[in-house]
Amino acid sequence: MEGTQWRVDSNHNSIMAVGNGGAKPVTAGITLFYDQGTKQYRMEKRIEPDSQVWVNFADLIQNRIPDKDGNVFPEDTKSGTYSIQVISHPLQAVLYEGKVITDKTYGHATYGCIICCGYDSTGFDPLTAYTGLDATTGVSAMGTNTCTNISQSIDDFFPTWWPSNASIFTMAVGSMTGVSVGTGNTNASTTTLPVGGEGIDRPPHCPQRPAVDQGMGNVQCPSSDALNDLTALSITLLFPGLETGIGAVATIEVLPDTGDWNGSQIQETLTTASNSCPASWGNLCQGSSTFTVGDGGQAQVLVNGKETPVGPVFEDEDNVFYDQHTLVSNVSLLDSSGINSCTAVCTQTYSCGITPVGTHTITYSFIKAQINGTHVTSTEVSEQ
Amino acid sequence: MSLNMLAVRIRKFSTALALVGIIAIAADPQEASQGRFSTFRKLLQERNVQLTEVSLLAALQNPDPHIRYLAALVLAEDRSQDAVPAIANALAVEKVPETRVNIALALAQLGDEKGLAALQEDCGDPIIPAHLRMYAVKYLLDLHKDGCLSEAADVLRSATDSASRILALSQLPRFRHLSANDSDGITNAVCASLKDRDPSVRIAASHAIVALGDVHAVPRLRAAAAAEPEEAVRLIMHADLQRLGQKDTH
Repeated sequence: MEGTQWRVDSNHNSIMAVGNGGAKPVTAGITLFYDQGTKQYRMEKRIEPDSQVWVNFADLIQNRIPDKDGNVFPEDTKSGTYSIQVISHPLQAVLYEGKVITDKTYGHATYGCIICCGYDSTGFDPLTAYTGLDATTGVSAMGTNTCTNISQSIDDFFPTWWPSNASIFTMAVGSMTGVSVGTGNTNASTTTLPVGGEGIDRPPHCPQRPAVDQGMGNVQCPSSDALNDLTALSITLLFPGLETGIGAVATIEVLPDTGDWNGSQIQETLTTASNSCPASWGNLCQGSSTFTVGDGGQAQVLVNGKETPVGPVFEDEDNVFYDQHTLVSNVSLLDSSGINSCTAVCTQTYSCGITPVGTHTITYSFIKAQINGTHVTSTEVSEQ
Repeated sequence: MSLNMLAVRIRKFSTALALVGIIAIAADPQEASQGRFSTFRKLLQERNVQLTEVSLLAALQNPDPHIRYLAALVLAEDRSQDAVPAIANALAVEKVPETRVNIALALAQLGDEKGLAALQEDCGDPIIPAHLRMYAVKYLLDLHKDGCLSEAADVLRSATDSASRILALSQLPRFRHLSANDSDGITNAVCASLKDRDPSVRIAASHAIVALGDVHAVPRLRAAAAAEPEEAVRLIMHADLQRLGQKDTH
């Protein structure tokens, strides 16, 4: 709410009320502009539901009451404008404001106005929504504030959200979550949307009306992937805690990049293509990890029985996930096995649900090396 | 059996058990483990840190340096602009170099110039460990800033630890919009590393040539493969030559 004038002098006083017509408490920020709009006096007021706070302009000026920043009005301040914003939670904003001006110019007279600020419902944003498998995407019920004419999310007024087919996606307030690949309808409804009134229907309390939003929801999987980067991590980062290690972190981008795949879950399957390493080392091509697209993180390995983060961190990036290919031990495996080198080749497939996304060949090569005279086994990883 | 004899037998049996245990530890194949990539949130949860903003802000001052930077990175993931002053303060007082460079990344992710400035400073700082300078280079490249090319080349030429040289080789192919001179400089530096004393660095150089995709480097990689004394390294170089689409005649 912007720009209404206030006035205080020997013949006038302005008293303003700011009320909360919503169901939850809000914190309102009230800014009074003076000195031809060049200076500000700022207040924050918590307002309970169905309550009002009152601001007596003459009191603030004459009693030198400081604002939240410690400012006080000059005593000769006579007029200005004001604005009101909701600080705590815009979605709960059903503020109304009123102002009474006492005018003693020609005897005693009061005049003023009170208006409500409701919403005109304008439907879902986006009207057609897309999300990935197991991913959650925002879907907002939108409305135009009748006071500010600003379009904003009014999710909080819609208590009921439902999909046409819960086996494709589920819905909660402000979001949809993919369950299986497919298409359905998005729905949300309310019986109590405060709307901007007209005539005698204007506040102090906005009239409440039912509203229903409907749109489309699509659950999709990426169709392919690309190995963007392979960051090698040397055993020297963890020597002498380890005498075998460590490998690399792969940066995998899911495609097409026109989609938003963040939050999608990608599963891996691994099979052994070849392995010349001793059986006692275990199955090097095992793993059934699930990766969340869009999450950052860091490699972690066991050092002296303790999970230890190692190497640079990998920041969250749109449509990207990270996969760690490492093998570590606190003994030099090649030396303890009495061999000079060995190689294991793994075939790895990433899938989104039952949809294959990409297949890669990961080659672990183990070579002998020395650090400060100590024999170690270096884990080298290639991927394509 | 006297008590003394029993005690001797128990001692001998205990010693034998201990020896078996030591041998088992030394040769136990279970010693080998693969590790796993973890999200910042999971790493914090494993360290009993709650993921509320209040808890994360408090964790910026945790005695554990890992927790300090992980908290900053989760705040950055949450796009928590309110946390910028607290993260900036944490960066200003941070003494652990690895934690400092990771907190700088978090601050830079939130769009704060102090974070970028700290990363730029760290990548060229000869006082901090070279591998951390390469972390700073990586983070700047992640943020699409190409400013530390000469520093990365410098680490590749002069770092004494192979981890830093390997990280430099991972990052050098990521630089974009290079002049012809810079591009040639990178190729030459990478090719020179094909003769590094450490086999892991030679492998990283071979991979870097693949990432560069520079056909001018192919003859040098082929020559390096021919001269490579370690069979395992030679095989990797041959595989990389194949990936470059070149017929391997060796």
